[in-house]
Amino acid sequence: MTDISSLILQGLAAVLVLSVLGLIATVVVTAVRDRIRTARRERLSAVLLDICDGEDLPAPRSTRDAETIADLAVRLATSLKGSDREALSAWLQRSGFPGRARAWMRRRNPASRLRGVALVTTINGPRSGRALVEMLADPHRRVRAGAARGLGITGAGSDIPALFSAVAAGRIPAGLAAMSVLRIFPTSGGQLESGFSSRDPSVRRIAAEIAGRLELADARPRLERLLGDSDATVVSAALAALVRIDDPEALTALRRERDRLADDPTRREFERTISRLEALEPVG
Amino acid sequence: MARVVIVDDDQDLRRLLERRLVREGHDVVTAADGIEGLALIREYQPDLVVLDWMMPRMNGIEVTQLLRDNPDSGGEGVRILILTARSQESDVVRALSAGADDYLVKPFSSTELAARVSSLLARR
Repeated sequence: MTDISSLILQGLAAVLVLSVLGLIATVVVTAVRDRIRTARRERLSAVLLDICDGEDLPAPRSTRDAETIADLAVRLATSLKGSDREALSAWLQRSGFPGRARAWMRRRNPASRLRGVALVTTINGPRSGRALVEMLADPHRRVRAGAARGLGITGAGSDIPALFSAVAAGRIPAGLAAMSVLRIFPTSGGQLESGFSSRDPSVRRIAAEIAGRLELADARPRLERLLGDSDATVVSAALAALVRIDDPEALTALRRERDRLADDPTRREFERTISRLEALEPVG
Repeated sequence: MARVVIVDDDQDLRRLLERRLVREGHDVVTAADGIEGLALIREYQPDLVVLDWMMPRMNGIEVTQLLRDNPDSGGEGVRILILTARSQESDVVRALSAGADDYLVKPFSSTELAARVSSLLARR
């Protein structure tokens, strides 16, 4: 019995000692790893600042260095514009980062794909828009949102239908798409056509809101089409946009649609819009 | 050459600003938050402070108000440039009302920042 007790005690002591040793080893390994990471970050941060100063430095050789420099560049670039940002973007392009970004965007890990998306946005190269449009179909919500935000920075008018489609497919929130389209800054109502004719009311609504916000005068006929929309929020957005566009030419369509309505809040909204525009109508 | 204090919690940005202003010939020291920044300003008595708005412990607007309300805090006559991502009209008004001399929105160009610093220092 004593022998068994002694064996159990010895076993417990061994487990305790091993646990303590394991804990110490974990603490030491974590500390060393953090120190290495910090040292790498410090070294590469200095490299990045040299690049912003216009120095042409060699591309990083290791994947770890490339990942760290990509993360640092993405973060720094959000605060910079002008020559610093241009120097950074040009160096990333010269140093093979577009290829690295594309490879990261194909990885299984969503964090890697998000890093790829952020890097493509920072590089803002000739094929950035196309790469980001593809990422709007990513299975991970944050990656899709990153791609939509990136399109707001790097995108062109031709990327707007992809943003509207992503909203209609439930891949990105309408508000996020609206912000990105506004940043792309369409200059004509025609660039929003896919939004006006979307089956999804939230897309038609943001197309109307954007047309109004940007005062796209040539969007008036498309907005008039939305006055008879089956969704009340779309009609409200179209009315608000017509007020912002301030074109009395819209009065004919407004009066026609108003006359079809019963005396309800929507009709009163039409009345208010008509009053605003009548003030601008040429006399006689 | 002027004495400049940079207060920003973003280490990389702080370094970039420091390098730019040192290259312009200024004597620069940096701090990572408002409280550290205030201590540095008291000790260093700078000609100009570049202050980030959103920082831990004490933000840039609070630092500005403290400097303007307490001339013995080292802030007497000091020029204050607020550097921030906040770009609303009401933000600019709030910063200038608190006593800032100038306001620069991120993303910013360091060339523009250097020009604003020179302009502020020339007004001394």
